[in-house]
Amino acid sequence: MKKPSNYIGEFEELVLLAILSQGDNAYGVTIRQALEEATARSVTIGSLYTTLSRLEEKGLVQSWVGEPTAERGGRAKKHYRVKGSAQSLLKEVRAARQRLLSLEPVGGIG
Amino acid sequence: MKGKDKQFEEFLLQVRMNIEADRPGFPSEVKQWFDLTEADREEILHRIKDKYGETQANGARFVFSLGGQIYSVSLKNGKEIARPPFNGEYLLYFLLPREERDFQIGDLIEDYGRVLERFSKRRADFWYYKQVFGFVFSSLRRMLVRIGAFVWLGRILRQLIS
Repeated sequence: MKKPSNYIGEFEELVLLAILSQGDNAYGVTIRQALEEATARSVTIGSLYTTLSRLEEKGLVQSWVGEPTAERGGRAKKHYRVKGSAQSLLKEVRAARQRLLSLEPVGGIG
Repeated sequence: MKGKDKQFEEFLLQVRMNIEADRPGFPSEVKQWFDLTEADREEILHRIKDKYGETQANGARFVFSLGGQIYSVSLKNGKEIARPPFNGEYLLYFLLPREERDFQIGDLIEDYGRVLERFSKRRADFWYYKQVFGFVFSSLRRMLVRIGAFVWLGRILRQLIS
């Protein structure tokens, strides 16, 4: 089993949070909608799947295949779930961000 | 079984004609395909493979999945007929890795139906092509990164050898 990576980029962090927000209904369409609503930015499915496969390679998410549905032209959904290791990593990232924000900026902000 | 053979061949021909002619009409044959059980569909595909070979069977599977898109979008729009642009779909079919193809195209079909419900077909098609170019861009970027990595490794190796 691959050891989970301890570094995640900004978009990867957002994707992980979007998966968490969708619970058991996290698949391409719902994750993308959650991201677009939260960031008010357009996200293409291609870039989302690139990130999802990278997160899977890093051992931060796991996926499973659902049932095919007629609504999707008889194609199955690929569901995602955030692993426990990723949840602790998200907490670490948030804590690090808080620590940095609490530091007094040299020369002030702006 | 002979009757089933004939019925299926007519069905396949009709679906192919609808797609190739870009005909804006509801293909009842696709509904017929979806009304079959999974076992029947597999049996039919096996029979094509036996009769015409593997390439033809794969082609038929592809045609049915396209037909499925027409059907799914038609379901969402009552009697109005629409489907994602064929050329975009065709491009994705070649660009995406086989194991990811079904999920990603399925997501696009689902989203296409939603965009179509809210806006016009032209805008939905525009949205679809935007997504397709997103895929093209991601694939190109991945390919360039890989090539760059190989070039970089080659230089390092050459320096080590010389």
